[in-house]
Amino acid sequence: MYLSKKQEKMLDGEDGEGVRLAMQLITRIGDMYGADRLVEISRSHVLGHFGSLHIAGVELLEKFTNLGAKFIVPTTVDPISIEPNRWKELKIEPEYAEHQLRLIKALNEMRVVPTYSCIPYLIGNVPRYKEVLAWSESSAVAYSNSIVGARTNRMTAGFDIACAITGLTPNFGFLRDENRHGQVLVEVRKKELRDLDYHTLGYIVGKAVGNMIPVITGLSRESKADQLKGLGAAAASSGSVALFHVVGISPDAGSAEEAFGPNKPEDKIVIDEEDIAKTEDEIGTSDEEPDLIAVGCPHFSVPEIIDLARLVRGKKVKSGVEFWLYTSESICNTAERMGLIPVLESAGIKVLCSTCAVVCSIRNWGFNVMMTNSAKFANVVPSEHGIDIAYAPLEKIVEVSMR
Amino acid sequence: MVLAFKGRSLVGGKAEGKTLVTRQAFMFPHGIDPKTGRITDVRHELYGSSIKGRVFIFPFGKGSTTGSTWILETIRCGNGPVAIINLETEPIIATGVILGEMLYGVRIPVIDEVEKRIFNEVRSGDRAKIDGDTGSIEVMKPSK
Repeated sequence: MYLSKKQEKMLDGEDGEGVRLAMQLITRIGDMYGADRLVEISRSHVLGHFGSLHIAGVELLEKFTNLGAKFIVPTTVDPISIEPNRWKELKIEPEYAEHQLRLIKALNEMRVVPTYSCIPYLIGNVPRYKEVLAWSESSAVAYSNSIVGARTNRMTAGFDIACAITGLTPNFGFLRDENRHGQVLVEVRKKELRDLDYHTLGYIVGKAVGNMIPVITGLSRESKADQLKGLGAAAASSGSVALFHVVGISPDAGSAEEAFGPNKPEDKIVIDEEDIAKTEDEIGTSDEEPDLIAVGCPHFSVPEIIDLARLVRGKKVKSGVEFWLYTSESICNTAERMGLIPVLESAGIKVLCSTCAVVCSIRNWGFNVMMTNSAKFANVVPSEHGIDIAYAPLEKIVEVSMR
Repeated sequence: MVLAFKGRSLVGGKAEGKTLVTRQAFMFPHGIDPKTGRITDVRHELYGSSIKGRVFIFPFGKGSTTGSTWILETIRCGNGPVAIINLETEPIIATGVILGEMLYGVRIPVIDEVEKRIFNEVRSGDRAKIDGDTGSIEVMKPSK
């Protein structure tokens, strides 16, 4: 891989030992994957939750901070494994919290923008078309590649940090236009999609295509950002979809022909109303009454909080049921000032910031059935926490869990 | 009987050990317990087996972008495999292995683009010799 004079000096330690360590990792991965050179990134999004970083991750981040490393591009961070101010109330063990607090400290020392959210692209870390990124968080990768048309590979813990420290990433994979053409045609034949249908569609697409690039037709150009974020999160979770094209929405997909470029579709998948209904049934693993409601995967946006507040006004969560909403601190602050948080809280809903049920342990609660409107939660939570899933639209969730 | 296979060298070094083979994609995040090396993914055919000390042969990884630190933690706890052999090794796995070397001085050879027939011809428990520098694999089959 070609390195400029300046990059060679970074690798030699001229910008400090932290940069040298980061460059060692980046250049080795670049060489492995046939990158021709390193390219500059404009912004970064990294992982920092103890639930997956473990003690090794704590040691890695602290190694970088001890060597004086700092992020040199705007760098936001994913949800973390505790609610910073309420972890005791959420039955988190002190040792677990202690490790997460060490990760927070290391990230702060490297000058992270402390968003602790999986939707950086809705809360200030907003890329534009063809911006080069080095992002972790599979759902944010899917959204920024597919809906925005930015260029990022699926980064991973440690590699993401190294790119944010150097402002560089190896030029391979989804950064190169020739690797971004569609491979599988997906025809959606259902009009008037509900919010939940976007999650279900994403789940079907991810299962069907694995890590190939789907080109999706039949979606309204007026699909909302929140619907598309649900679609991408589900596809990235049930498969490893890092890039999909929605014809009429994605910048490189004015038409299916444009999205495929020189490629011929390797396969064609048709998804109709019946497929969506059938999959919706399959995603749920239980018909029993839920004892936990979890919404906000990906994190709820302000419009989604407005919708929920409208549905629950004057109602109350049934006894024996916990109703948790996950969002970012900045969205929560906005919703608070709009008078929405008191509406939710007086209905008995816990509004939890900076974390979620994917990255935070909920084992100590002994829940049996989680009801959610998120296909990603439905996909990840059973294997992680050993609880059953009921999968339903928000209206149904409110109907079942509140009186 | 000795069977030979070729692949592409990703991480160099030599290793020897018993194989652990699966044709299913493997998920490190929440799919393994780093403290023991045991596979905890209930949906995986290798559920309950341990990767510790094994030449771990699987087609490719799957699951969330946190995979690297799951591998790194497994290495830190001394429960990593002695070699990894894939059809396709994604950067998530490579990052975990490289960091294992940089932080804990543990070198795990990685070979990808391995000949597909390895999944038909090698069974878990066969002994294997790996040369990560040349991408060559020798598997000793017990004589019948």
